[in-house]
Amino acid sequence: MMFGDLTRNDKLLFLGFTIAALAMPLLAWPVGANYPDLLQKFAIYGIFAIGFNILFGLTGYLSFGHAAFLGVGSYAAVWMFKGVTMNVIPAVIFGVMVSGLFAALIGFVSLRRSGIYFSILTLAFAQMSYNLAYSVLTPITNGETGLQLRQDDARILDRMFVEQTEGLPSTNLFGLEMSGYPGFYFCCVLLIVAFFIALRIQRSPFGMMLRAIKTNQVRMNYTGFNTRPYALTAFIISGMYAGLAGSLLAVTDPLAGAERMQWTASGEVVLMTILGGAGTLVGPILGAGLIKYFENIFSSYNDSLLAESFSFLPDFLNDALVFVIGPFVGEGWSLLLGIVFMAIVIFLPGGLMEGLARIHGWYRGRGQGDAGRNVAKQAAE
Amino acid sequence: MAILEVKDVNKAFGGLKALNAVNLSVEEGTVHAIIGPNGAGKSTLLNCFVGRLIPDTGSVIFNGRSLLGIKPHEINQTGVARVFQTPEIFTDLSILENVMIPAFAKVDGSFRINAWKTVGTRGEVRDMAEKVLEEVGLQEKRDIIASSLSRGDKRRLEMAMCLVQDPKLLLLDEPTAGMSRADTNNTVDLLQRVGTHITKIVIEHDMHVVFSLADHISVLAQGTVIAGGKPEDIKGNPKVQEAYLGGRTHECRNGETGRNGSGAVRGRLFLLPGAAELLRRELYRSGRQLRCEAGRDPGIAGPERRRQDVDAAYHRAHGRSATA
Ligand SMILES: Nc1ncnc2c1ncn2[C@@H]1O[C@H](COP(=O)(O)OP(=O)(O)OP(=O)(O)O)[C@@H](O)[C@H]1O
Ligand SMILES: [Mg+2]
Repeated sequence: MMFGDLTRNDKLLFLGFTIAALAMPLLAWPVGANYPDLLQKFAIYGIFAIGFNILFGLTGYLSFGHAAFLGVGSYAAVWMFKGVTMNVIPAVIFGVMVSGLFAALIGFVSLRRSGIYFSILTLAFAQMSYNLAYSVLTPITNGETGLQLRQDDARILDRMFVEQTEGLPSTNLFGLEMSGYPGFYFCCVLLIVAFFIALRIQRSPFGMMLRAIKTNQVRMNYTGFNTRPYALTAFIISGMYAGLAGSLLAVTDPLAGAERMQWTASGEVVLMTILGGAGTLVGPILGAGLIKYFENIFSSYNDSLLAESFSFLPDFLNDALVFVIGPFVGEGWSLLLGIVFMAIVIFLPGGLMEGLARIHGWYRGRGQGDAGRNVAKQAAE
Repeated sequence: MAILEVKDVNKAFGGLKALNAVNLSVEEGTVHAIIGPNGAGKSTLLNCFVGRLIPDTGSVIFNGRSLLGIKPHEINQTGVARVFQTPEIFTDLSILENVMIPAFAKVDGSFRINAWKTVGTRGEVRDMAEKVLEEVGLQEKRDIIASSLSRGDKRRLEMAMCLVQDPKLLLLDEPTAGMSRADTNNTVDLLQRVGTHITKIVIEHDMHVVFSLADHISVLAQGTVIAGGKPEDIKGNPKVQEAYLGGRTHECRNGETGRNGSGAVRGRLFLLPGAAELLRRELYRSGRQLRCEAGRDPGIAGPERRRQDVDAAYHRAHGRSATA
């Protein structure tokens, strides 16, 4: 019963997604994003966003502290590398489990409230984790420096079976080094698995209950459902997705720092999900990819690079353009992101997926108005 | 045998005694109507049955088991379903999903994670839902999103959501409020047709509905049951007439703005059959905005366009002008 009970549309959706994910290096080539470091980020933050969407898009609980689980996943994975083996499988499993446990704890407390109070509770917990990682928990997190590999780490299993070499060992999948394209394809396969699980959840009775909770929690209670454990399960699943993403960050670059848990990182996944389209399966991944892509481009620009790109223009125009655009690149990239985000929320509340659906709708049902649009919207989901 | 036994229930909101030593006994398999003027405490009483409110004192025994202090979902699982005064449905989901969800609650219980197989594999649940949709006449609209339904259809949907669970006790809080005459008749017809074995408690302002459905009527006024009995007995009961038409009763709902607050408030009239059916409906459909002046009895003005109609109707009903 892996595929048999999915509808034809869902099978096609999954097939299309798998092909697109595997062909990502090709697809990213025209926009110059086809290098493994960036592709890995697309896959990893895609996973993060899929998981976040299960809680926010499906269940309607807006967490502002999801980066905490990302951080916990990273720390757990790095500890596995340090203590047991540089093989990535145990690290990933451990990262997912630890963040799942952590999510159970935080979710249990935060879900006593809903709406804005829930959001604030999660934010508070994440900031607490961040501060703890910096201070009290230094023995576990190595404080400001961040948790790193060391020559003299225990690596129990590795020392038993693998010959030790000079220098820091690298993460590997049974000997295959997890950097460059192998690293990307490892993340990519997990992204596909993550997507498949999310698809199954969304189409299952459980997913239906989550959507019902989002729509009308009161009705759910008077309909005989105990909504709290449903929401908690969604919270834990979504925390585990974040933990998976966090441990993959450690797989591709084995160090973990507290800044990964900062509120800006929590905010980023909210932006990704809303930008792409909360509640849709593909939207959040799209949002994650776009944000990571543009962050990569814009944050590397500075005024002199800008001036260079516009050097074909007369001086005064060049100066004017640099003056206008300058504040939005480099450090100011988040300013640009903020503006784009506002525009999306105001004009396309359903995110990019709604935009695509509208285009599709116009294309298919020109003149049919709303009806055509709704059909298209459903198709897009 | 009494399926629901309510004894000496009291409930106060601040200084306001919403329920005052309410006693009620509902026989299994009957339709029990609760009538009474606006603000009498009818909805509050239902809230005490489903776990939304806990009475200050008193007991509510359903099927030999106390319902007090039990969570709403547990109460539902023991077989109590409720249609709310303002429809509580899943507005973002399709009609079919709206009905399948309560069916899942019935089949799978209050919490079960079945996150792997698709909804499509649960044909039995879908069949349950489709059957009820057929009964209430919504099967054609099963793929529509619930928010786009008309008011009457939303209520019908909520009823389907309750019926699909085949509850032992069905609570209906004004199931025909806001419906046209035709829709009201449909609803009455529906309630007489389906779930005939289900014990029902119906709160209703429309006397036509009450007298068509009820086996037993309890009259609630200012938090107290002032009369109870067979419909024939209630009709002629002078105490009941007094409660509705008597001097101190507010004839328009003195809602959120406070009991004696002045200004525009949502409102509607409640009158016994024959008294001013016309006026009641007129206000209901057109206005909703009644003015209720402090200390005046009962100062009413319809919305400007309808003002003459309202005045005329009121005059016919009471022999005096509505707007003093
Ligand atoms: N949660 C609450 N808090 C404070 N006061 C309340 C609350 N619920 C109801 N009341 C008050 O209790 C009284 C009874 O209200 P209730 O809603 O039970 O009346 P009702 O008989 O259902 O009236 P209607 O026919 O208008 O629905 C009203 O005066 C109302 O304002
Ligand atoms: Mg009421």
